[in-house]
Amino acid sequence: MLERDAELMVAGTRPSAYAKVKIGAKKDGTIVAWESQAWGSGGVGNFSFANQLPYVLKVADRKEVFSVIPTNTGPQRAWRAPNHPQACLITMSAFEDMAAKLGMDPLDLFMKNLPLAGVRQNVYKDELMKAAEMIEWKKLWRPRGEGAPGSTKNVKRGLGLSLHTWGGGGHASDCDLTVHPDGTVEIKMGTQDLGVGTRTVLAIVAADTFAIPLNQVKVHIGDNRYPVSGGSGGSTTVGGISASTRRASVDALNMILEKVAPTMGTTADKLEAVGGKIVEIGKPTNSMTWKQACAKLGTQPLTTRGKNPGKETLTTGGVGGVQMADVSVDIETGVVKMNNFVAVQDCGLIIDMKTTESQVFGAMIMGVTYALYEERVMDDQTGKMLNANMEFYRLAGLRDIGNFKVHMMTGKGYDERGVIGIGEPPTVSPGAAISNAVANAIGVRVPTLPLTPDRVLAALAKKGGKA
Amino acid sequence: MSSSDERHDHAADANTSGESAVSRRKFLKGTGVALTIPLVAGGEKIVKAAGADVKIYGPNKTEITLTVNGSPKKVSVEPRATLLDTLRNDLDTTGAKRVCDRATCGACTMIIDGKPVYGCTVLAIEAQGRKIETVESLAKGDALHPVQQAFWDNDAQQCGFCTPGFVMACKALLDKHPSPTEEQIEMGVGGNLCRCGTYHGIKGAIAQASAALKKGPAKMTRGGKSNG
Amino acid sequence: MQNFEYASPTTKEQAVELLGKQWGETEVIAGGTDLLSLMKDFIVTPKRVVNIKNIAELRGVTINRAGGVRIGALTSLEEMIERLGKGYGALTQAAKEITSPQIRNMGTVGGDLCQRPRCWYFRAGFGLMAKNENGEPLVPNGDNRYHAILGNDGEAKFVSASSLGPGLIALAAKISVFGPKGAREIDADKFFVAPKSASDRETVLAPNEIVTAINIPSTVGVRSATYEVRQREALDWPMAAASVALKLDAAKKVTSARIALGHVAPTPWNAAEAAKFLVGKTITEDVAAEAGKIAVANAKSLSRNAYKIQLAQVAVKRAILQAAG
Repeated sequence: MLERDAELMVAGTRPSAYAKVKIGAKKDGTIVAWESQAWGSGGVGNFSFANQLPYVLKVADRKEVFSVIPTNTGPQRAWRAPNHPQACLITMSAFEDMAAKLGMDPLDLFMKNLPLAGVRQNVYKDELMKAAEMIEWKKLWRPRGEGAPGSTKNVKRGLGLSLHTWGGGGHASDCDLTVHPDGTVEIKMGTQDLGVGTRTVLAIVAADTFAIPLNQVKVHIGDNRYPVSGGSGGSTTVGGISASTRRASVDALNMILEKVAPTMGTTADKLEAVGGKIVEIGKPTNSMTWKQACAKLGTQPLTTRGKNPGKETLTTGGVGGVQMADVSVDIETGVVKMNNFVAVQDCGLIIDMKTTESQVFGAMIMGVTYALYEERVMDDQTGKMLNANMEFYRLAGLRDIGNFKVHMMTGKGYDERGVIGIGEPPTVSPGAAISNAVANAIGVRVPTLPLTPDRVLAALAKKGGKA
Repeated sequence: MSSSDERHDHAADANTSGESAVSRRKFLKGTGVALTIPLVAGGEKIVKAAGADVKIYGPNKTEITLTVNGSPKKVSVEPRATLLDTLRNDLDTTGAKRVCDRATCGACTMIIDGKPVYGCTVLAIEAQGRKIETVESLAKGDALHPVQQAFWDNDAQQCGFCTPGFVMACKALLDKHPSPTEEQIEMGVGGNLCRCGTYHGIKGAIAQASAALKKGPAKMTRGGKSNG
Repeated sequence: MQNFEYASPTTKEQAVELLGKQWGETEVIAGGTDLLSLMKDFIVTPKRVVNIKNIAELRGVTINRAGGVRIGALTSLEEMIERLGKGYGALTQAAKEITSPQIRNMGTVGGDLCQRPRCWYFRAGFGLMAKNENGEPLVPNGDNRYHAILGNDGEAKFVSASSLGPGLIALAAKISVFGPKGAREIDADKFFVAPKSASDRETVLAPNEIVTAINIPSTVGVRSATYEVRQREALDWPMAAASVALKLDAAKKVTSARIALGHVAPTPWNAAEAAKFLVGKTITEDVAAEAGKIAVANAKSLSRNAYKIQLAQVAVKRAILQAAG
């Protein structure tokens, strides 16, 4: 196994990014112009997110310059939503700074500028309202530097928000699904479970299609002998694997319905699977248990190969999310603590709420970590990474995260979009939301992530001492 | 059979084994700490220190016995072998994970003599005569320990690398504080890190496991609540 | 890790004889929480490791009738927390701030005092004085955000990693050590030294001496506290820390005070001037803040660690207020 320094050197790191931004607004908060000069380094690799700025809120009159600076510091690595957190921080902090300048509540300023978000502006509107309700924005928010309720002489509380987007979708995926004469179902797929719930999702899709209990479905993954399915990346796994499994399950079910229809004195198109039975639609007395139906297969199991039929069928892409952070900043020490953190997110049709929410919680925790702690420290004299360990390359512990709430947008307008993917989107906003909350608390922008005590104190000193 | 060859070689380093065994027993008896240093064979020599015979082990392999999850296990180790590596590489006990290997991340957490420790930072040779419990000791057949069941029910794991360590840290916490306060929970697992961000689930798991353990023998079944 | 030979003596006399006379030849292992990491990174490469955990007389916490306490060097941090009462807040709080039960169970009181600096140049293999292959110091022009702001005139610019050192200085403890010439007692304040060369160590211990116990005089009437500025609540190294011990008279005026800082200098730092300032005063936030200022009056920042002066000052203020309150 690699030691941590070797692992960090070969595996790569998230590219750095810096930017100078000028934005113009009307007195009512409408953003009318954007100019950014950004630069960053992807180490030995190329790197650019010029087309990402401004992020989500595409100001019509804009000018962007992006410079790439190669360094011999190892490769860059896609790091859960590549480029989005950087672009999000740069954009959302500029918008928040403008709100502060205009003396506006940033929630109002963002609402006002939602038309810049294009097709998903109504999703963002709903999400902003929901998140504001969850974090009690209207009750707790105070103008920048005044300190939200609960602030003391030395500890200032603040609120901040951010919004983000991501593509997602479904990668290419094949699924072999076998229905056995005893009614059990097996799925074979050359996919992998990084701990995000791949197995769970596969079982649920098949079990739901056949209307049988989850424990009737056995899932086999992680083997090259199984049908090819894509790698995990881009928030496309759940879309790909659920689409191919759904296809294989529906095909198998239809074949079984064909088999049992004559016995039930009807045709396959009049039958459905409900509650462990095959039932005639509209005439529930005419039914057969799933097990009885599968017994009609005789001695031969039934195997189908399902393929993800592609975009805009069972899956689609493009999601929006809003996050709001509530922090306390000790202005004597510069230490930032999380109080509350809420995420409102859509990702189309949700197959399993528990593992979906786990992805969002995990992304938020990872987000707190990169907003407050994580930083690769390179020594410019020796070219060595100085904190290739877990002591000074800090990750949040259980005590550092505060209280989290997650709300997934579901129901009309969301479910019918199909399955999209959730791994990346909720990891985009934390840096921006937390940075905005800190600025709101202490009255000045801390211009760099992570928001370490030295940087917070330096920003306070620049502002002239006390918050 | 290289290990037996090595043992043979090192027996030659020591004085004749019969004589040294006698003096060793005398010595241990005299200091009243018999069994603190279990007797081991091979890979060792005797030196005089402060008028007593003191055994020097290594640098080559020496045979030791570790009590792992209730069973004595014989294994030959160099003094530099950590308990974690010995369990994982030589004793097929891979529940505890090697991640930072520097007493920071907690993935190797195991319970020794009732207390949670980092297995990466204990020498195997020092762990003789001590009661070593790893995550493998928890489930009884298909029946999960309440802490494991609670991790399952609360989706308190993702990639799973930190999970065995967290489970053992939580077990040790609940052994010590059956009804932990929030502060005790946070202190109890303050020595474990999770990269995937499962802390939210872990908090819930600790609360559930605490309640389940207080109720006495809990219903322990594999499967838990349906995720559907 | 380089291989080594291992001994596990049962008396301190044996232990001392088994240790080498030069640094680097042998190492003492107790909790192992620091030593094994240093060995894995080849920062120390002893030929022999002497385990002192089987020396019974190094164990145990004894509370004297007179009110003082003897803490055996092998006492774990957790056991110390459990055994010590209120008067020892400076020590128990410092130990509790090590928010890993695993470290508190493994780490020993003696080991805390003898642990090596966490300077990232030292840990990356550039030596205790952090020099490149041409012998040029790396800290002054490098990333010194966690380095010393006090006592940094010499070559040693790292900070002492000891959590208990400042508390022991505040409580006027004495460290018992044992070596070839027998036992001696050292004021906690004198136990730590800034090494003059990379082959020296950070304490007055000879290579073949071991810490046997810590003796703390009576804490009757003493109020003590430790305050750490840490970025994370999770296990983390403080950026600055302060331990304070106060005696107050009936009118709540300070009759005696001791203050020591941690993680700001190559040794725990005795802030005697700040303590002297407190005597005769009633503790208020302003008085505490003034003492904080005095404590860092002679601080000199390196290129990137000026913020630590502020943190140290605040740590002193808050530790005083906690001790008094």
